[in-house]
Formats: sequence, C-alpha cells, structure tokens
Amino acid sequence: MPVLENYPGRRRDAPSSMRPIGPGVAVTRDGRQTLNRTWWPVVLVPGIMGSRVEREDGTDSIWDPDRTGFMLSLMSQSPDTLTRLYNHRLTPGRTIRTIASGDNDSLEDRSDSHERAIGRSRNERNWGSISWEYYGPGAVGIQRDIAVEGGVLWCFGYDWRRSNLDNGRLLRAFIANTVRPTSPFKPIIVTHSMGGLVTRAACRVHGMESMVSGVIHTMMPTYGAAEAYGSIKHGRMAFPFRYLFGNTPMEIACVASGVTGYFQLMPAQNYPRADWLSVDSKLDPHCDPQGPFPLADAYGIYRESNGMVGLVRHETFNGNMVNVGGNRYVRRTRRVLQHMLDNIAEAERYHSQLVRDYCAPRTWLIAETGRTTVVTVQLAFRQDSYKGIALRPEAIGNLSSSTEGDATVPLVSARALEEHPNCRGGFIVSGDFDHADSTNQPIVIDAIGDLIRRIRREGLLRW
Amino acid sequence: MKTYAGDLFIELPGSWDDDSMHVYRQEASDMEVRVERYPVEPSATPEALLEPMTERLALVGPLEGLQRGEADVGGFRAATLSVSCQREGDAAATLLEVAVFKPKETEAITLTALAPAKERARLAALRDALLTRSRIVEVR
Repeated sequence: MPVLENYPGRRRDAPSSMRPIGPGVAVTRDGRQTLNRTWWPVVLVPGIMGSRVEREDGTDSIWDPDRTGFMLSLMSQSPDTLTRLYNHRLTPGRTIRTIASGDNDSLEDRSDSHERAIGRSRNERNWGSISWEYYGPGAVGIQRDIAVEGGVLWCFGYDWRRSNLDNGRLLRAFIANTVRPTSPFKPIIVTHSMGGLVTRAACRVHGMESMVSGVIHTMMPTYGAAEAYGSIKHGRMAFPFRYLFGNTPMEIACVASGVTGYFQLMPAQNYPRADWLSVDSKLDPHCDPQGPFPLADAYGIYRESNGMVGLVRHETFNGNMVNVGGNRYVRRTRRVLQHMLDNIAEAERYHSQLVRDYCAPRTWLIAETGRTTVVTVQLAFRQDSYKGIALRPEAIGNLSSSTEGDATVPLVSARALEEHPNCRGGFIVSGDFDHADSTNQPIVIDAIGDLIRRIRREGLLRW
Repeated sequence: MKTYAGDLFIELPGSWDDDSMHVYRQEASDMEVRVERYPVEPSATPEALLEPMTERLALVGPLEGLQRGEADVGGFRAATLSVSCQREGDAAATLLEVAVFKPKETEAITLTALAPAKERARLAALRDALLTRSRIVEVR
C-alpha cells in the first residue's frame, strides 16, 4: 500500500530527468512561432472561492478576489443581499475569462521564455478564470517548472457555488473540447481542495477517467472537513471562509445556503475520523426525529429539523425572516431552508451514491500538516430560563483544533484515499502557510512538479 | 406597491420587498455607485450597522485613512465611512465612501461610492452630491 512520505524538498542542483518530447527547435525571438515540440497538458482545478465568477449576463461580478474595488463593495453588502448573490439558483453565473491585471498575462523575458514558446497566452489557456490572488503565483510556478520539458498549464475555473457534480461535467467538456485538440497526450490534472471533488466527479460520473494521464490532488477534503459543519453550529469561520459567509451561525447558514459545493465539504458518512462530532446526550430527546444519530447517517444529522444537531431549526426559517446578528435580517428564509435541504440532498448524492470512495487511476496526493485545524465539533446542551420559565433548549457548538491539518482540511481527510488501490502515493508537506495559500508556496509547487515527473516517467497516455 | 425602477414607474398589486441592488457606472471612469436596501432590527442604529461592515472590509486588505462620521441624508441621520485600500499588486489604492441610514424602522439603505485614487477629487464631489441630494420621495 502506498504511504505518503514527508516531502524532502527538491534538490536544486538535480538535473531534470525528463526531456522535452520532440526535437525541441529553438524559439524564435518574438516567441510566437509554434515549435516543433510536442506539448503535453496539465490542468489546474482550483478549490472553492478560487474561481472568478460573474453574473450570467456579464453585468456585474459575483466573486472576484482579484479586483480590490469589487471586493470592497462586496464586503459592504448585507447578509440579505449576499444570500441571494451567492445562490447560483437565484443568481446564475459564469466564470470570468480575462485576467484582471494585464501585467499577469504578460511574460517575463528570461523566466518565461519557454512558456512563450507555447504560442498561447495565459488568457487563451483560461488562466483568467482562476483567482490570481489565490492561484496566480502557483500557476506561474508550476508553468515555469514544466515548460522547459514541454508542459503546458491550463486552468479550469468554475462556478464553485454549483454542485461538484455539475462542475465535473463541465470539466470533462473543457478537457474534451478545449485541451484535447492541442496535444496528442491526455492531460495530468492537478487539483486543489474542492477541485479534487470536481475532478473525482468528472472521472467517476461523467466518463473523464479514460481522458487523463494522471491526477494529483493537493489538500483535498476527500470526505469533507469538520469546520464546514462546525462553523454553522458555532459561528466561527477561518479565513477565507469568513470572507465569504460571515461570522455568526445564522449569517453563515443563510449566506452559505445557496452554495451547493459548500455542503459537499461537510463530513460525509465515510469521514475517516469516528469522533469528529460528539453530541451531549441531553440533546437527543429534543431532536426531531429523536436522537441519537450515528455518524454514518451524516445527512440525517444535517437535516434534523429542531436544529439540535441539524444545521438549522426549520421552524425559525419557516417564519420567513431570520435575525442573523449584528442588527440585520435575512428575508424569504423558507426558500433559504428549501435550498439548504436541496443542497444536503445533493451532497448525499455526491458522497453516498455517486462518487463515494472513488479514486481515479494513477492518483497522487499532497497533504499539508502542522497548522491549527478544526478537527472535531462538540455540541453541548443548554437551557436558559426567564423569570423561572425554562426556555427552549439549545445546542451550543464548540470546535476543537489540532495541528494535524492545513488550517482548513484535517490531515485524515486529505490523505483518505492513500490506501486506495489506485493511489500511487505522494507527499506530506509542512510549512507556515494555510490551506487557501498552499498552491502558491514554493515547496508545494516543487512537490507538484516532482509528481508530474513521476507520472511522465510512467508514461503519458495518448488520445 | 408603487416604485421606480430607474425612471420607470411601476405599480405592483399587493405587498412587495424591494430586493433590487442598483449599480451605477460612468463611461470612461472607474467610479461606481451602489444602492442597497435591506431589512434590519428596529433598534439598529446606522453606527451599529457599520460595525460588521468595517470588520469585513478589513478582510480585503490593509485599510488606510479610515474615518467615520455622521451626515444627514434627506432628513435621516447617516453613519459614514471613508477608507482606502491598496493590496499587494494593486497599481493604486481604491477609495471607498459608505453612508448607512434608516429611512424606515426596519429598513436600512447603504450607499457606496468607489473610485481609484486618481479620481479622489471626483469621488469627493460624488460623495457630497450623494449625501446632500439623496432623499426619500413619496411614490405617487
């Protein structure tokens, strides 16, 4: 069985063991000439919030971390507005196609000479669809690392508010229609975080398995992350989720309600840590249906309608207006609740029925550890009284952390596929960087490059 | 319900919530104005509504020159905020002006105006115009 090894870092003096495929004709001065070299593709699939999304009609952005002005205006909007904006059913979106800063589409003379020889700009390779803020330095690093050997980096941004099952279908179409015509070789897919769930859906459900030479998952919440559930019960979110959803339990519940992908990041029935959730037994009789709930019934837990272990108290949302804290309300919460329940059902469909423990052939993993990460959630019983009258019982969420993770994804979830027969191994990295910024780190870029070379050594598959 | 969508007067039977977010931009300028209405607690003050907003703005990047103040918008007391933000990689700072006021007990309006630093003077004029000329009118 493969075991992830601690990444030792790359020896800087090590000669590249891989050669370009083809004769490798010299680049012309303007770099626009197509070389007599056979390029092989790598596709980067980012995580949640990592793609830039605008309204379907292009009139306004929905999420664009690369534009400071837009983000300032976004942060000044109310939870009521954001609940609708982040709901892909109410506000359909599409990815942005042009890199926000023209500087980032221009190449440096020396460092990017091999990339110039590709003959396709970064915009043409869809780099505009991913957030430069989160992935730009990593994309440049990977491209510089592999370009000398003929590697071409493409990016697949997607509307991360939608289901990973939907985005898996779009990823397959992107490979078939955009990447395939450019090379005789099937691509290597490099994923970060939720991008791994998109890719596994594409391979398992939409027939992409036979269309890739290998898959490298980095920091993948394979079966979810405790924080995604715990934050709704507790109200605390780590950056960058706090950026997106807010900072009170109700605010997070409402604003996240339309982000289908987010529900697929909550621990699934096969989450590898058996104690990720502990519930005070005094809460059980107040659950509807009555508890206790086994963790194998994760989606039953999320649906529980009294909000003891369930994500929210349905009755509160059926009132059609919810106080989310900070003096603010969200309206039309019957619809909000319905979308939450739809998204729980979609998460169950993803994890319990369709993708399950799927691992694509020739899969490699990279996981990070050493960062303070939420690993377990505890729900405590509380019942206050007012003038001697007992008030309705409440579940109080507490989060416990350890350093076994990357500040978002617990290590057990990131390495959950390690023993799958299709997993070839990979690396564990340690550093002082968090999940959201991990693919921009030199050590992770080197680790990705090393795994790309291992896949190439095994042989790229031809179409 | 009677209202205007831009200069279009519409009359809708029954009671409605206004979910519209109005965005105004000028040709050949990066300035932008947004108008948002949203439900709030009756006890909410404009100052209190600015609090979570200010916390969230700080997540975007380093905030410079943050100033809070008060103004009168069409007879309603408004809490105001001025700030600039320049993140790594930004060629210039972005300036933001915010005014929050409550035209009704359970409804707030946020006016935001954005501009790049090179349009500082024009933004200042825009801010003044928004604060002094905006008013709630009866829709007949």
